[in-house]
Amino acid sequence: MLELKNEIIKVLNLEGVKPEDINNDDELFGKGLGLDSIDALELIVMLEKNYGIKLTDPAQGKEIFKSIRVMAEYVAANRKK
Amino acid sequence: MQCRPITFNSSRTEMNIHIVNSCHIIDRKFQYGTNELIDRSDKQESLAEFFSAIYHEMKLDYPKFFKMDLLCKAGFLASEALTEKNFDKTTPKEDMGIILFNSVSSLDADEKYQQTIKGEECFPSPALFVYTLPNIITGELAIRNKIMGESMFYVLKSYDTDRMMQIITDTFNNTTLHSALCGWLDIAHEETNVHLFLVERSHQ
Repeated sequence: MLELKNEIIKVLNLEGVKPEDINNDDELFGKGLGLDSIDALELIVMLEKNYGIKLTDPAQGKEIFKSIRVMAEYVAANRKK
Repeated sequence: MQCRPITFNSSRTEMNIHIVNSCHIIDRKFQYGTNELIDRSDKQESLAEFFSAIYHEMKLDYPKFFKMDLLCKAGFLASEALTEKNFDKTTPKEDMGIILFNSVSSLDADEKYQQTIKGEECFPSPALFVYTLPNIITGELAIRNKIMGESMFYVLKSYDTDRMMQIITDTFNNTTLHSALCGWLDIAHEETNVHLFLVERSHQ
């Protein structure tokens, strides 16, 4: 999960945010990290680029990006790289 | 490049428009107000690092800044300097507008986005793509400052003071704008030529 947090911080330009600031079960969107729809698209690109995971339906992102923990479990189960 | 400053000659305009405040970003120097200057010309830093330094020195608190492209960052920082004192950022302002100009459009964002789509490994970046239009900065400034009046971004062949003054004056003449953020923002290849002004309609 540390690897994922670092990657999210880098890809989304979350200046000043450290991995320890992101709780594993906090919402990524809305109240938690406050990410928006463009960030969601960037995360979809990141999944393919870094882990070889291609989302065929962007709507899947809503479930996958619920929290760091949910996202990490999805990546672990589906990564091709 | 030295640019003739934008001025408003009341004999040429149907109404008086005066400059309330100005901000200039050239050669890693950020100058605003009557005598405020942040000079980082002796630092070996990228334009992004320069803008970050200005952001922190101005003690701003707007995390979205770090997602902006360089054109938006320049305009944002300049507008924050112009609205530093006695400016209400919470009340919607129907009588305030944004009139911006440059000659390179969104070239910096365009080039960076192009890097993400060339080659065999093509991963287009949505976060870069959204800034591949120069007028995105008018949206960013409108959101930040609750500016609800006319907003526009003109791409001119070159820095043309007369043309800019004509457009700004015509806009004020034909609308109910009382004030506007206006000026020139050229950002390309790590260089800046930025002159932003807060102008107001003068009371007769």
